[in-house]
Amino acid sequence: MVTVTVGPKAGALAAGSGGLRDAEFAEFFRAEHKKLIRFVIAIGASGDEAAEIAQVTFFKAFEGWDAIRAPRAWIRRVAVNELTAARQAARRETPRATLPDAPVPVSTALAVELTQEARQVLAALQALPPRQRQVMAWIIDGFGAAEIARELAVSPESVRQSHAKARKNLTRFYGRRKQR
Amino acid sequence: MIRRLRDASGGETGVQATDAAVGRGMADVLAALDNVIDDDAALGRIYAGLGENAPCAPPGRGAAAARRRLAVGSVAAVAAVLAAGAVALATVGVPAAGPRGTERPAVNTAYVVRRVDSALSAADPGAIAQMTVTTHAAATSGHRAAQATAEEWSYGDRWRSVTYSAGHLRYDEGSSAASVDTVVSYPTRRWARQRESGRPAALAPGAGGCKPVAAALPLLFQPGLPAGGLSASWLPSTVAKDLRAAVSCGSLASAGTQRVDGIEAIKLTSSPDSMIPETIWVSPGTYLPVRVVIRPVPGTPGPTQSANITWLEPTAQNLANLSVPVPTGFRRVPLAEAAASVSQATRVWTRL
Repeated sequence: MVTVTVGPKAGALAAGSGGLRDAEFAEFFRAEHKKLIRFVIAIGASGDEAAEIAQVTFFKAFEGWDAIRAPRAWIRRVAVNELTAARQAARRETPRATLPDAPVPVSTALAVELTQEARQVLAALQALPPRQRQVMAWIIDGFGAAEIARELAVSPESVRQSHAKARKNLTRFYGRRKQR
Repeated sequence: MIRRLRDASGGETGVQATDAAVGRGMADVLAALDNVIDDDAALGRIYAGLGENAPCAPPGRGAAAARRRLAVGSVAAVAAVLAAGAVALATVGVPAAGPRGTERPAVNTAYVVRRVDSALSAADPGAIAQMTVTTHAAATSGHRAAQATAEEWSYGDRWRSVTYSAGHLRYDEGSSAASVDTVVSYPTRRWARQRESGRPAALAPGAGGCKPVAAALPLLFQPGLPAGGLSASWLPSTVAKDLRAAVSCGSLASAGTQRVDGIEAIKLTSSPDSMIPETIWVSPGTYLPVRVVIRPVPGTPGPTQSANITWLEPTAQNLANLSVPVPTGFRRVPLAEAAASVSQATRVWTRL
């Protein structure tokens, strides 16, 4: 498994260098925007929900950009919090079936663009227990056990165990698929 | 012992294969997102939410990319995903709007148009387009408000149009596969039949394919008769072809979704400076147009015209709708005479 540990932001900009700061944020946004949407989908969100949460997360990232030291991990941590908050809010509110004049939905577009293999992987991830799914989402995005452990506030050993269980469960899932 | 080793080895191979499948699948998810998400538009919305201008896009992401941006939304897709036969993505409620004025992320405008184009391409000539066309003219000085309705069917070279006015059947006309045109005038109880007089068509030869939807659908919005002034030299066309030409023009932009006949349809509208304000709603499941509305230019007294479109399988029952029945007791006349009587009977259209 590839491990990418994100350290302090390279070339952190001095106050007042707004143009450079914007350019740096834009570069980061373009590199990570879709990956963050994929990450949020992997931990259990719909395509629309993931796009929405990514937007909110990057908005917050831009606001606090100068103080964020490990932005790749930071946006994922915030996105998980946003998803949790959205679900808690949804449980409190009466769900609305439709919104008038809502813009074009991402999920609909994804529904026709995703390959069979992608659908299968997403279905397999959805079948995992939440902790295993979360660990898998971080690992898919190239994070190592130590970094994931920090973000999830657990021990690296616990991350490794969750990863091992997730791989076993996924393998079982694929085995069942093959038998059908 | 050997068995245990084999099991272990087999298990490890299985896990490795799973790792590879997960890697490929998630790479595919990213590729799919690449097709439907426009990063630059999403970034622009973040800056817009903060009242700042987005920095310039890097080289290669210039005007072409900017042209294909549109807003994208959040929640309402769940039903649409199911309708599209779709994916095992989780479905839970989502807040309706982002915090502090952030707007929705972005999806590729060109994507929607591309899907509509290929859906219409597949529907021509595979499906029958059945339409209910309503034309409504507001009251003006000297004229009362008027409304006329027509039922239309288009399938390959075949088409049929049945017009009602004030609740009465006015005329029924159509062209068969053998290019035989039939016109029945109900007010005068006359009918006519003639070979190859030509059906009204959207695009004149050499005129190019890019026209407003209104111009692309004269059959819908300017009903005419084979001998009633329409040139037989016009190219035969189909509703699917004509809509395809209109949608592919690039003059329409996505304006979100709206509920149309129980589905959360994707809305495409003409630009504000368009000469003809028109809107098309397409199904999120099939990407086929389900409704077209053309409004008068603001400040002008023209009619509002709308067409609800259903795409039907060419079953024997549905194909029967393309035949023009001639009621018993009606008198057969030369086509020109029947056309004249029909024109008389459908003045509402000429006023419109």
